[in-house]
Amino acid sequence: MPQIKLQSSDGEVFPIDVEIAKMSTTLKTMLEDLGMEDDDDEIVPLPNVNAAILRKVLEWCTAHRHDPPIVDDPNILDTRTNNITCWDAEFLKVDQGTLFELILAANYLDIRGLLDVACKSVATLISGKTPEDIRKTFNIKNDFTPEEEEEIRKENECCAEK
Amino acid sequence: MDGNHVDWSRMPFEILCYIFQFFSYRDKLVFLSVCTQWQKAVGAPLFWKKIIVKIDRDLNEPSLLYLIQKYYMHIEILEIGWSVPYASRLKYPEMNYKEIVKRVGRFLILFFERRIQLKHLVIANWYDIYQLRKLCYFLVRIIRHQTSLESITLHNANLNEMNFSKILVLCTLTRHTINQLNIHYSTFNAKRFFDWWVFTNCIEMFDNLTVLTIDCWIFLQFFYKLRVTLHKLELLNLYVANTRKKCDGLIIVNQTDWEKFVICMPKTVVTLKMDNPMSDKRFERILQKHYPLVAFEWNYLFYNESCLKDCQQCLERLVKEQQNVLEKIRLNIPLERNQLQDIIDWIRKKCQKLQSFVFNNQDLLINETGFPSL
Repeated sequence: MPQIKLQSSDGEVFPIDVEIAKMSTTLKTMLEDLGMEDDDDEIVPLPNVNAAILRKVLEWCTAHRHDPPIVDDPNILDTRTNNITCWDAEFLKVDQGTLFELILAANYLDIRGLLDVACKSVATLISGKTPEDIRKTFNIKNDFTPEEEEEIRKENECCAEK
Repeated sequence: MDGNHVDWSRMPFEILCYIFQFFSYRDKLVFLSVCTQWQKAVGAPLFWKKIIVKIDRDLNEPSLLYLIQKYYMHIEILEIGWSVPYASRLKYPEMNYKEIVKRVGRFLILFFERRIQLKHLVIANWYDIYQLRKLCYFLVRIIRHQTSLESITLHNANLNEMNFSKILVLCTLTRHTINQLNIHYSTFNAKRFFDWWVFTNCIEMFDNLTVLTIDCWIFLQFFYKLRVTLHKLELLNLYVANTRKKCDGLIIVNQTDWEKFVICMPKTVVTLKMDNPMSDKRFERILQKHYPLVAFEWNYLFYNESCLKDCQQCLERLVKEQQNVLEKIRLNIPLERNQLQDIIDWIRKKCQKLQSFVFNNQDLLINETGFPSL
């Protein structure tokens, strides 16, 4: 099985199977464009991903390498089904910081499956909370002016009455 | 990176939008008041281009109605229906049909009040029962106002015969722009009440149709007999219905009738999609060598004793009749691959044009040529 080497932002090198690397659309396109050869010893630098996160990403890719590719079926696509497999749920039991970085990495490497499960797990984290709770959980500053806030409050009230 | 103290406002806008699609409308309404960036992300036009509405889940509280009023101008694709596949599950004890009719009505009225022009309309898992029958009136009004629809899908729509014909007739108002019609498992009581006269006549009026999906029995029963002519049709998907009732009366069409298929639909290739196991005899009736079957899909839901035998027989017949045109085979069957290995090998040898052969989500053709070839 041919391998390639990935280098994380903090310098650690990960040798991985090409088959696994190809789960990332970014890497796949790159490999195809460059026309990698067997005895190439080139290292692919990934400046946006650190070692801890890259290890996590590769762990996911290895476990899911036999998954069928995700196809966009315009007829039946409902993204709001929260079906996360046991393995993924266990895998995503991480602190918020890691989850955040995982989403960024999955987006950068363009691994659709990982991005989806990570997003779903964020969804379970905050669905059903009030704006105040969400701001607290995610350290988000409330940047509305008092007038804007008043307006939103009024709108929400109208809505609740309906 | 510090454990639980991450600044989520650092999250790039596109990803935020991507995450938000996993939330319910109620949550999205809450997000509006979190911060300006989240507010913008909720209102991103891309977000509202396609909306999927499950009546029991999304219209049991009013947040969707509110959001729609705010962002209706972006909507291009509407999918509406229930989240349950069978009507029997609709009998929740606490369900108040009157309330539901009212709220869905209010939602649909918004569409023709604001003159929302849709490109694609999907009605899936819709039930025309009890007082819910009235809802069809609103659907009809929406369709009447459309001028640029490109596709209409009725999937498991269970419409009664009157409503079904009404919808179909009104779709013909925008017939020049429609290029895709998917109608399957959608008539209420199958054959007995099926208004084939309206159906075939309407279908023929869509003069730019390139993709058509219908139930197989409708095709076998009426299309050849009435010489339904669709000059631009490229793909004809045939669904073999789930219930025995709809399939029973299939007749073998004689050869002279079939020869007209090429004249009436000169560009068409056919895909056959089956959801249930069936005996060789019934399969024979469905399969006719006079239309070019290029793709075959078989999704078995449950295992039964005759499964293996049926599969072997049906696949054998399939190849015998269609080996010169068959390009794609997709099987999802509750059997192991080695149980069918003989026949799989035989199919691969016989069908020269075969491009993909997917067995239980595994593409046999790719795996065995030694992927990857770097």
